[in-house]
Amino acid sequence: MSLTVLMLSGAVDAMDEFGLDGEDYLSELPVVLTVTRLPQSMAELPTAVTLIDREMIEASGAVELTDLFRLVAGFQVGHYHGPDGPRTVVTYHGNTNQYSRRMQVLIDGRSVYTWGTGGAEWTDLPVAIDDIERIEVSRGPNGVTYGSNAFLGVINIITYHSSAQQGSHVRLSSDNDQYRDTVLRYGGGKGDFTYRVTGRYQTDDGFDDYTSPGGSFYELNDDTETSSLSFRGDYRAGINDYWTVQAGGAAGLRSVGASYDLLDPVRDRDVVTHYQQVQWKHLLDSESEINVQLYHNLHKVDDQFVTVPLPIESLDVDTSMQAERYNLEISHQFRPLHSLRMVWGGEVRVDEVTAADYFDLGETYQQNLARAFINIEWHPAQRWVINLGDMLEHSDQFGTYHSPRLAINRLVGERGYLRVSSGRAYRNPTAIEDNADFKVRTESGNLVFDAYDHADDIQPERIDSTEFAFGAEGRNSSYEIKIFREKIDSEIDAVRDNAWPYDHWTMMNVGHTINEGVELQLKARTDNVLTSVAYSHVRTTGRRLDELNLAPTEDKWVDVDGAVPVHTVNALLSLRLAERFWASLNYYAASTMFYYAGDLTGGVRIADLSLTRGFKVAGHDAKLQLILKNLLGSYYDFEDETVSERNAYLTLQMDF
Amino acid sequence: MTGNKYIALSLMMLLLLPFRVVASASLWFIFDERNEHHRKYVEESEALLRKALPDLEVMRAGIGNGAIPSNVSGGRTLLVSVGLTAARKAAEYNVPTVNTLITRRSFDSLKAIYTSVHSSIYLDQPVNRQLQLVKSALPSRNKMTVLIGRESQPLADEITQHAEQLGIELRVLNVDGESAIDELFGAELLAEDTLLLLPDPEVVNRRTVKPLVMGSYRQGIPLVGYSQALVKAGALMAVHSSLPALEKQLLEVTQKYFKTGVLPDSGYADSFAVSVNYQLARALKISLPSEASLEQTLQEQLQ
Repeated sequence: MSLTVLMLSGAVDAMDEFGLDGEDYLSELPVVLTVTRLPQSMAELPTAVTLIDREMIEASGAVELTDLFRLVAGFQVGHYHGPDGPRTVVTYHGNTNQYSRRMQVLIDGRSVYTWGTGGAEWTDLPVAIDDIERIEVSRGPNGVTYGSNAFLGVINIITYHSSAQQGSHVRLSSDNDQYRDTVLRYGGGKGDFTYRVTGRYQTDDGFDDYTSPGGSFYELNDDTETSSLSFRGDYRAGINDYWTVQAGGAAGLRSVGASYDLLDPVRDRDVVTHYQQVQWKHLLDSESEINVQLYHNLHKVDDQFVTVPLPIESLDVDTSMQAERYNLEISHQFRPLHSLRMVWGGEVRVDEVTAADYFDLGETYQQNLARAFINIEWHPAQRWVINLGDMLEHSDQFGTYHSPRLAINRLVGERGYLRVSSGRAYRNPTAIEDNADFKVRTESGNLVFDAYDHADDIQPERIDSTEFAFGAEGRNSSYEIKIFREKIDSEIDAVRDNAWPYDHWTMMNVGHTINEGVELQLKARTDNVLTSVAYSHVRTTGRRLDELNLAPTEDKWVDVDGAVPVHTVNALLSLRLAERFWASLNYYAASTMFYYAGDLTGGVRIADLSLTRGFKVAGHDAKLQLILKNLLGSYYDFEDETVSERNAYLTLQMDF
Repeated sequence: MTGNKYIALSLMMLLLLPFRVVASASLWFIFDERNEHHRKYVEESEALLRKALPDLEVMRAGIGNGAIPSNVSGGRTLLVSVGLTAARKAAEYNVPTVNTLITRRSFDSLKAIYTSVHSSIYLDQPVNRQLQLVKSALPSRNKMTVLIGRESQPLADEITQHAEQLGIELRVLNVDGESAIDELFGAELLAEDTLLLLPDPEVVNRRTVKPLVMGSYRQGIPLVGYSQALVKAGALMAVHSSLPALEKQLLEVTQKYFKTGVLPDSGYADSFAVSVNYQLARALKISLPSEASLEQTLQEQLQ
């Protein structure tokens, strides 16, 4: 090769041959990007963060993505089934129904929080656990960075750069029942462009039918079948220009209903979701960069059925819904002074939700959002860090409001820190909460009953949070203890309105909750041991409206304390017993709580054991994993009838 | 000479002049069509030339296909070779030639085979610009190691001299093959602040890029290269020629040649660009200003 060619095209050759990539240059201490959009070490962060890295993902014995969130202090995971489909609920500090609406969920910076019903549609996300590099969970309001809905926290799922996943990968997983999961991935590229395509096919027969101790029989039709495909392409256009294009989709069936329920017959809900995302990062100098992101999401559920004649005419029920989003975001990060770093930017978003019966006759509602944000990290003295930020958000429906945050960190010794932080965030009502008008009609269009409506004066939920934390972070270990108080006002939920002659609910602001407590997150590792401990103790007070009554009967208010578990604990211990042989024990427990659409759980205790053996097949890496789930016996984590039994999963994967 | 003779001579010259203008001037690019960088350089240069010199006939010849007529002659014809192989090919013609996208060392090695006037616009930048870049961008780093191979050996004295002038403590390390590079980092011989690379296929090649880049990164040593490609591959920064600037310089040389019939002496590109790998700078915790501001500082210091 001539020198000239090397000089002009050496990069292409070098990148191609050596797979050198920006990711290799991440410094050794983990850097968190989610909280302020500025890369910060744990000690500099304005709020608590749990980092679930690949090692923890592998060791946890997680079968589904949602299992991973039990590793996070203060998190609960519940399993629901109902006419709106089998759903997995991920919540921080409980206090939710089957739609956990108080956390922002991002995949590589793209919000998958749906405006339709709120929260993330976990079962439908086209992201394979195999492609995830790490998950950053910020525990505490983060409206200052991500706007409304980054309320109790933010989950940012970060997938691998495609250059890190070159070649073929196959994974087959199965349990001793009907769960099957197949993942196929191929990564390739040329020169400065690399890509990966991941396909997944998964079937699950869900929970078994259930007979309560009192003899009530529950038929659980909650099978799921999902096919998904995702693409990620990364292109380095110049030394300091990075493009990422992602697109993907999923389609599947969700079984619901019961043969004995005339209003909820056995049927399949069709789910289709897809997304497209383009990101451009331009580094201006070693302290500044510009990021631009454009994406589109669509999530669609088809679920229309006609009941048997009741008694004369059949009901035509259509709970189909389509939620679509276009989002453009620009941010600029720089260092105006040696002691000051800042990021500022803006975002415009259009959300559109079309629903059949939820909006009576298939209305479409649109929400236009505009956001401007700024986060400043200031080092006024050598050992002090001040994070100050504000988010100004304007929506058509709710006007303009601020979500500010101030945090003061004091660095102690070589690795330690203290932090005091206070912030405010909002949660916008979802399309359903803001516009519900659920009317059930007969096939000929006659109104039979009016199930849901909404209050006209519904306001966004508001959280004010203050925390004091201290901790330390080293290369192989870290811990943080956080003492917090969070007050949620104007909570929104459905309230039964007894003024109606039949079951009728109104979406409205129902009350407030105050959570006070302490959380611990600890992680340590050596070459042969990985351990992670998470603990949360929460004392909850607050009241919320439960039923509206006609005078003279007073409205019914209930205490909310039972909706948040007092104790949540997780302990993960993973040991290398021999070269390429790992054993992991993952224990999780949460004291009793209830979900608003579920039952009192009576406390949950889960222990999973996983054994992982790596080996070579014709020179290629392969892995066999046996996961024994629920060693402590069966439990339910949302409602009585969704009982998780002892189960064994076997996974075989290979990279070649 | 009488007045009439003056008039007659003037008339004759007037008659001759149009012929000289009409005689078409031509320029041939000789290049490797398979090399996309060379192709790009030719396409963009051609567009510039056609715009500035509409009467100039611009033609292309691939290396090895003998597309240049054998009767091309000097005076109204200029060859432009692109790259080292094309420069060798161009030497076969006894025609004034401008060699482009060729390093100074390569051009020097070809000098012996040239029979006609050859001028070169070097692709590489003079070593003093590299040193000055380090001085400007990393003012606190006064120790430097430069890796020298057989090809770059003649530059050793020159770079040592420049380093002395700039107050840089320079160590010249002779590299003999790939194993030498592995040993370099393996034995942690590099206690210096900065590692400098010069264009030398013995030192920087397909096989040595990785050990150089990764070795220096692991030891936290900024690697200063000579091309954008090296920066892309993992060097911290480089001062290098940019294609648009080289294209512009070719246009100026061509204009001058067809105006005066004289080719300038071979020399480095007048202008330069600075490329910085900011991702790497962040990882090494080195704060660097924007490329534009580094270029400006360097420009001022070199004046």
